[in-house]
Amino acid sequence: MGAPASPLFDHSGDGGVLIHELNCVACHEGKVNAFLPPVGAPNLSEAGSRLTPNWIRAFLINPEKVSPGSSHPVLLGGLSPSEAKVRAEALAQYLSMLKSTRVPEESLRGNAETGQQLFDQVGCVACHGQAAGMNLQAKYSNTQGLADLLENPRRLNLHGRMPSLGLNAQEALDVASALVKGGPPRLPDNPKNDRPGVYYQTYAGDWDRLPDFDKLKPFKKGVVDNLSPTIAGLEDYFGVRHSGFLLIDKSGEYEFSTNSDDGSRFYVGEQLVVNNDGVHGGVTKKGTISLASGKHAFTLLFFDKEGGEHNHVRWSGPGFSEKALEGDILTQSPDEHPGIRPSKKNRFIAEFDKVKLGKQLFSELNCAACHAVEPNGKLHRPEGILGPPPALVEMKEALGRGCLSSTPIDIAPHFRLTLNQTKDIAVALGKSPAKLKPAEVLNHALVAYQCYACHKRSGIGGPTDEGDSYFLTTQQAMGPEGRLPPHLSGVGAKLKSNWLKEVIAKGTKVRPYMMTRMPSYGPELAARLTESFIEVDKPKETSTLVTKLSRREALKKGRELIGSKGMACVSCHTFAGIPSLGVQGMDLTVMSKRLRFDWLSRYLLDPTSLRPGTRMPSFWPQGKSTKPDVLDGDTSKQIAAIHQYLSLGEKAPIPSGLARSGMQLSVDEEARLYRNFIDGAGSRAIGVGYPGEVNLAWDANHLRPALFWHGPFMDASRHWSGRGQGFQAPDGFNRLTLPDGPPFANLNDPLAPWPKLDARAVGFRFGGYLLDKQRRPTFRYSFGDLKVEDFFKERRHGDDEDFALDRIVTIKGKVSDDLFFRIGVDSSPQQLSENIFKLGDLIVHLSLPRGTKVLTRVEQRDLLVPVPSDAKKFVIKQTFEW
Amino acid sequence: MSKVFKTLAAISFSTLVTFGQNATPTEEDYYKLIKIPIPEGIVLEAGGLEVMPNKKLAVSTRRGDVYMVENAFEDTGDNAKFTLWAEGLHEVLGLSFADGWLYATQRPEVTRIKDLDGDGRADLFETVSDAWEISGDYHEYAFGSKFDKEGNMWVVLCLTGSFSSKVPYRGWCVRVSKDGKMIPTASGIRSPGGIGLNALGEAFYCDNQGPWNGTSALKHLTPGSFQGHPGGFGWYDLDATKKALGDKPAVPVSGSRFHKEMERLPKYRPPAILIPHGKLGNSASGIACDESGGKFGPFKEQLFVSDQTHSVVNRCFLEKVNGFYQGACFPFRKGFGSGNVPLMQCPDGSLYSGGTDRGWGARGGSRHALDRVVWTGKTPFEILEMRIRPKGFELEFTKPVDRKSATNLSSYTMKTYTYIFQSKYGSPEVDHTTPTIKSATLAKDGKTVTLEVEGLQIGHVHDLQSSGVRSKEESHPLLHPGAYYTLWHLPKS
Repeated sequence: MGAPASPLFDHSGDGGVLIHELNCVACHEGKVNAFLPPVGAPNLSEAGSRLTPNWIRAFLINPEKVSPGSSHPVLLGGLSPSEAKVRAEALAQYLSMLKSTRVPEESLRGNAETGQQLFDQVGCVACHGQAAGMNLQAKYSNTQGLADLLENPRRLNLHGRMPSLGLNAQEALDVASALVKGGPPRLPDNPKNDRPGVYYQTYAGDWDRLPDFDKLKPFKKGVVDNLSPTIAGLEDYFGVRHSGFLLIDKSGEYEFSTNSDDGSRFYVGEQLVVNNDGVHGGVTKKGTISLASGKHAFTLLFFDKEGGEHNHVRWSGPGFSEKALEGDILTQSPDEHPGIRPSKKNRFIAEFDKVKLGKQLFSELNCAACHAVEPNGKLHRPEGILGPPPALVEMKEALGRGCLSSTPIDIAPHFRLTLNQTKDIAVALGKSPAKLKPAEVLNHALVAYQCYACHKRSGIGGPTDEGDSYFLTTQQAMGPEGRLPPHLSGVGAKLKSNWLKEVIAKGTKVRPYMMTRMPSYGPELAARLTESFIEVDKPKETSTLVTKLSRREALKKGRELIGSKGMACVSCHTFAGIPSLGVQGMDLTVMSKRLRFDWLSRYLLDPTSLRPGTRMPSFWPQGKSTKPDVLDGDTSKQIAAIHQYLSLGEKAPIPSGLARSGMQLSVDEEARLYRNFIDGAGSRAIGVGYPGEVNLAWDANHLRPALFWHGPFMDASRHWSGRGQGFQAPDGFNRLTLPDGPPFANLNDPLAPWPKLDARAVGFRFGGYLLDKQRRPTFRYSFGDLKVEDFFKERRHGDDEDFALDRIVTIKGKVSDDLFFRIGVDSSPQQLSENIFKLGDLIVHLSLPRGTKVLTRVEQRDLLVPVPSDAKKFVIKQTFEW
Repeated sequence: MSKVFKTLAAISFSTLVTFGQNATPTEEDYYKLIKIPIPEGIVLEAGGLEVMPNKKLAVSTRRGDVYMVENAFEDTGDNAKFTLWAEGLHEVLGLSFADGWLYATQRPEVTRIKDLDGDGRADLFETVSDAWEISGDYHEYAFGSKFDKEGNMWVVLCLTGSFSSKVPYRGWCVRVSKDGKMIPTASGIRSPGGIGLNALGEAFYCDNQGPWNGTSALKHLTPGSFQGHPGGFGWYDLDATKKALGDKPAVPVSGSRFHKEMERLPKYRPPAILIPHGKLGNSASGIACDESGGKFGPFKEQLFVSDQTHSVVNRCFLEKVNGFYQGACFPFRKGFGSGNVPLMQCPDGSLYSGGTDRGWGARGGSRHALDRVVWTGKTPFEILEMRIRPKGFELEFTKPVDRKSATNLSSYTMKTYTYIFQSKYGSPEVDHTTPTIKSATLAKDGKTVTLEVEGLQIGHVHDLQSSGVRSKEESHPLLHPGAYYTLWHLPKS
C-alpha cells in the first residue's frame, strides 16, 4: 500500500490546482478556487498536548524527512544550520506551551492490542498502511493527545484530509495506544540525598474515598522500613501516606498492584498507576507503567473506615515475577520528593526567552496565515517584517525569487517544487482559477480525500491487491460484496441526495457485516460532493404513481412479495433488525430512504448490470415476474408495490415468513389476548387479535378501545426477550388511533367539552373480562352504579378479504342524569346516511335503541349518544370499518 | 490469615483420611431433585406456583400463561402432562387458590380466574384490585403471596427501575383482601424476588442487592414498617397512606450502616437475614415454609429461600429477639435447572421450584425449568438451628455430634462483616472482624453446642464455618459447614 498518492503530484501540469493545494492565497492576495474543496492547516492550540518538542524541531528543519509527502514548506532553509536550529528550538518551545484544556475521562485506558485490530479493520490501514510500520512514539508525547485527534480529526483541522472513522473515546485511545505504544518511558527523578526507608504521614478521619491528604494535618510522621498501614497504630477511621523513591534497574514495563482493605492508590511521580479507592474488603487492583532506569518518586495512599485493614503492594517487571514491593530498593528524601506531580525531568521546562522568541518567529514566519493558535482562532494574512507579500497577479516578476526560488532564500517559505511545477504555477499566476468540469471537480475530490483507496469508480481505484486482505466481513457467505466497500460508479443516480449527503457527512453505515467503516467528512464536503455526483451521474426522476395502485393494495402486495411466500427477499436480507432466514444481507427497511426509485427498478430487473458480481438474483428475468399470481404478474406494479411497502421503513409490518424469534403471535380460529405495554394503548393494555387479521388494543386504564389495526396481531419479542423493556407497537398496518378520555361522561351542559380526565380517577373501575367460546373477551367495568359490558367481534364485509369489527356496548344499572356515551371524534364528522358516520378514516355503522338520537357536536368535534336515565338496559351497537 | 488457611487445610486433609473409603455424603442422598421434563414448544418461565384442589400443579409464566400439570407428584416427572389453562396475562408472579378461584398477581392487578364451563380452559377473569399504577418500566413487577389468616394477599411492588418510584405504590407492599380492598402496608421495597408466609402467617419477602441493599436479604413485612429503600416515600403523602400509616420516616443516611439507622429510625426494620452476596447467592427470590409436619425432614417451620442467579435453595432459621426476627441462613440444595423464582411447599411435603433465566442469567443453564425436591427420609447432618445467646451462639445439630470434634475450638472459624447502607448500587463486604471463640460446650442432649464468642458485632453477618465437627454415629462432616447469622439484638438471658 505504501505512502498515499499525494494530490499535489497528481495535478502536476495544472498550476491552478497547485496554487490551490499549496494554499498560496493564505499569504498572497488572490482568488480562491471555488471549484475545489477548501484546504487548510491544523489549528495548533493543542499542539503541546500532543506533539513532542523534538518532533516539532525536526519537522521545522526538514518536513520532508520527518513526514514524507508533506506539503508543509521549509521555513528555515535559507539560514545557516546553527541559526535554523536555534529558531526551530524556539518555535518548538513556544508551540509546546499551547495545551488542550480538555479533561480526559480518567477511567479509560487504551488497549494497544484492540487498537491494532481497529487500525487494521476499520479503514485506517487503507490510507496509512500497516500500523506496525508507523513510528509515532517520536511524534506524539502521549496517547491521550493523539486519541483526542483521532476521535474527531476535523475538530482541529476543519479542511484537513483526515476524516473521522467514528471512533469513540475508548476506541480512539486504543488506536492511539497501538500507534504510540505506551510512549517513552518515564524518566527517573534521581534524588541526591535519599536514605533507606520510606517516609510516612498518618491521618485520622472517617472517609468513604481517599481524601486529599494535602489538606489534612498528619498526626504522626517519620521514616519506616515498609509500606504497611499498621504504622498508624489505629484500627479504624485512619489514613496513611507513604512516599519515597523506587530504584529501577532496567528500563521497561512494570506492573504494580495493591490489595487493600479499604481503599488505596499508588502513584509513580504524577501518574496514577493503581486505583483501588473506595470502601471494600481485600480487593486487588493493578496497573502498569513504563519506567526508565534510575530512582522514581512514588506515593502510596491508603485509608480504612471500619473492620479489617491491610494493604499489600506488589510489583513485577523485566526479569522478575510478582513480589512484594519492599527492601533496599525503597529510599526516602521528603525534601526532594515532588509529591503527586511531574518532577523536573518529566516536566517540559519552558525557557522564557526561547518561548518569547518562538512566539515572535511564529508571527515573523507568517505561520499564523495557515495555523491558528487559539481554539477556533482566526488566521492572519501576513504583514511580516518585509511588509505584505505581493498579490498573486503581481508575482510573475517574482518567479525565481522568494517562495518560487529553486533554492531556499532567507526566511521565505520553500515548497520544494520541481522546475516544471514552478513553470505550471507561473502559467497560472495572474489568471482567474479555471472553471473545472464537474467530472474534474469530482475526480479531484475523490483523489484528495482518498476515496479511491477503498472505492472503485468507473474503473479507477478500489483496494490494492496488497490491501485487499484488510477488508473483512462478519458474513463470509456474502463473498466480496460483504467485505469490500461498494463501487461508486453511477452512485449519484443510485442514492437519494439526502442519503448521499448523510453518508459522506456522517459515515452512516448500512452494512453491519462490513468491518471497514465509512469515514465522515462533515456537511460541507458532503454537500459539494453530492452536487458533483448528481451533476456527473444525472439521476432520473420517476414515480411509482403511474402504476395507479391504491396505497392499501400496494402495502399489502408489497409485503406479500417481500415475504417468504413471495420473492422471499427475507431469505437474505434482514428486516428492521430481524435476522433473515439465511445470509444476513442489508436491511430491507433502509432501502427506501437510500435508493432512488428509478435505480431500484432497474436494479431489481437486472441486478448484475448495476452491481457486477452481486449475489442478488433476478426475480423478473427478461422483465417477466416469477410471481405471476400477484398483481396479475404486472412487473411495474409489483416493483411499485415493493417500493411503497418498503417506504414505510422500520414501521412496515413484518413480512410473512420472517419469524421474530418465533414470537409473532399468530391468530387462527380463536381470538388471542396479549396483556402488556402496548404503544398507544398504555401500560394496562389488552391486545386482542381476532380471526381474519383484525385486531384491537383495549386500554384498561381508560376503559376504552385505543387502537384498531389490520394484519398481523402482535410481536411479543420485545417483551419476551431479555428483560422486556418498553412499549411495543401493534404488528400490522392500517392502524387507527381512537380518542383518549373516558367512554362515558355526565355533561350538564350539552356544549361542555368531553372531559380529558383519567377514567380511573373519576370512578371508573375495570372489572375484568369473560371469554366466549372463541375466546373473544367481553370487557366489564363499572362507573358508579353503572355496569358496562364492551364486546367486539370480527365481521367479514364486502367481497374483499378484509374484516370489520362489530361492537356491542351494554349498559345496566342506575343511569345518572345527562349521561352520554362517545362514539368518536373528528374535526369534521360526516353523516353518510341515517346510521352511517365517517370520522376521519373510520366509518361507523350505528344501531341504537328506538328513539335514541345521535348528537353531533360540531364545535366539540364529537359524536355522542345520550343514555336515557330511565333505561334499565341500554345497548349500543356499532360496526367499524377503516 | 495464614493461620486460618493452615487450619482449613488440616481439616480438609483429615476429612479425606476419615472418609477415604466411603463416598462423602451429598445433598442428593437426603433431598432428591426431580427435574420435570417440559414438553417442546412450552416456554415455562415460571413466575407462580399453586396446587389445585384436583392435585394439579398450576404454573404461571412470565409470558402470561397458566399451565396445569397433571401427575406432578409421582416418583419421576416422566408422566407430567402440561395443559394450557389460561393465556395472554401480564407477567404472572404469584398464584393462590381460594374459594373456588385461582388468584393471579399480574403486573397491573390481582385477578381471580375460573373455568366456568368446565372445558379445561379458564374463561372468567375478574379484576380483584388494580389499585396501584404502572408507568411501563419493565422493572415494575408485582409479586403476590398466598392469603394470610385474615384473608389478605400481600403484594410487593417493585420500584420504577432501581432508584425511584414514578407512580403510586411502586416500592411498596400492599395487602389486597378477597373483596378487593387495597391497604397500603409497608414502604421501602426495592426489587423483590419473591414473597411468602411463615407458619404463623406472617409475611416475608426477599429484596435484591442494589441501592440501599448491600446484599440480598430476607425481610419481615409488618404494617407501617419501612424496609430500607426511600425511593417510594412520595406515596406517604397520599390520603389513603396517611390514614393507614401516618407520617413518612426520615430518609436514611447514605453510607451509614443498617444497625446505626435502625437505632435512629424507629420505622426502619432492617433485614431479618442478610444473605451474603456471592456466598449463598446473588439474587434472592421465592420463599416457602416447611409446614409439612415432618414430611420434608427435620427443618420444621423453617423458611426455604430460592436464589435466581445461583440456581439454589437456601434455608433460613429465624428467631425473635426483643420482638424482632433475626437468624441464620444455610445452604440447602443446589443444582436446579434454571434461575429459581417461585418456590412452594406442596401438600405432600415436597418443594416445587420454577425457574427462568431470561434477562438475568442463572447457573442452572436452562432457559426455564420446573424442579421438585423430595426428602429421601434420611436425615442430613446439618446445623438445625443457630440461636443467639447473650455471650455467643447455641448450635443445635440434626443428629448427635462427636464430642471430641464438637468441643475442639479448631473445628470452628468465625468472622463477621456487614454491608454499606447506601443509595449507590450494592456494597462490598465491609467492617470485617474476627471474633474469638472462647469455648465450645456440648450439652447433655449430645446435639447442642454452646459457643462462647468474644467480639459479637451488632449489625454484622456472623459467618461461621464448622468444618471440623463430626456426627457421632457415621462420623460425617456437616453437609453444609457454613452458617450465616445476622445479629441485630442480643437477648438479655
